[in-house]
Amino acid sequence: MTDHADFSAEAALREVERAQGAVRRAGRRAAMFFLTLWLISTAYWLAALLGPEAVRDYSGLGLFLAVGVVLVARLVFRERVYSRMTARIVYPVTGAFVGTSVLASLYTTFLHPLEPGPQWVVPDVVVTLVAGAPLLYGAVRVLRSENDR
Amino acid sequence: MSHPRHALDEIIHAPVRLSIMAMLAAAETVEFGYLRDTIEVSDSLLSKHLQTLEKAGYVRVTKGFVGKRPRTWLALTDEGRDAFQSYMAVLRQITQAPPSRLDAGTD
Repeated sequence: MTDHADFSAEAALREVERAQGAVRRAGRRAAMFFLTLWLISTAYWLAALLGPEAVRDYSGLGLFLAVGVVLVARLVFRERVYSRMTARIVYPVTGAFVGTSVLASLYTTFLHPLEPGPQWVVPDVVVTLVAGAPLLYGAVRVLRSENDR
Repeated sequence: MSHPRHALDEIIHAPVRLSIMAMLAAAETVEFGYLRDTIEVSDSLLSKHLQTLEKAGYVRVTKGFVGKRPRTWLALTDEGRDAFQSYMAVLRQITQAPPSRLDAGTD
């Protein structure tokens, strides 16, 4: 007899569920982090492109990118467990997000007029959505992966 | 006919080692302290079981630093992942099979 002869199959399955639940919760935290950053990104670009002039003057790409990268870095270095999906997508999503943010800033700097007319609303909204798309994609992928388990 | 429980991997089928394997199977990497806190065991007990799993080729241990703090990261090897999947398949076979069928086996 082994020292765990009384460890039933049902108890083993319960323990597997409990242990994996902890990893799922960590994955959901990562998804919530991506979603929060997506909301901040969307609000930022809407304010920077469509907001009143006073708001636009306040917006600075450098500050926004720095905050985003620092927050992502905090997630990467502080989390002590990574779900498989989070580990797989955290760097591609971060890289894509920096890329779309740079594209949005180039659009703002070189194409967007200082006093945009109503015809600029649609392009501005599209740029806003594109800028935050990697974060939303990351959040959905992680949440879907955790819910499927 | 043999009872499916004989197919359970004895290395995995122990409470602490099963908890370790289950967490690592769901994760890419897990930090030693997180694993210890989550499955509520001492450092020494966790180390002992990790050695068993590492010796079996199921777990890969990586040491590193976060800032100046030493950290130990744990992950399943491919062999460990396969072993855990097989173990889970046997568990499900045991829990889902009708008792009469399982009882018909010889020990």
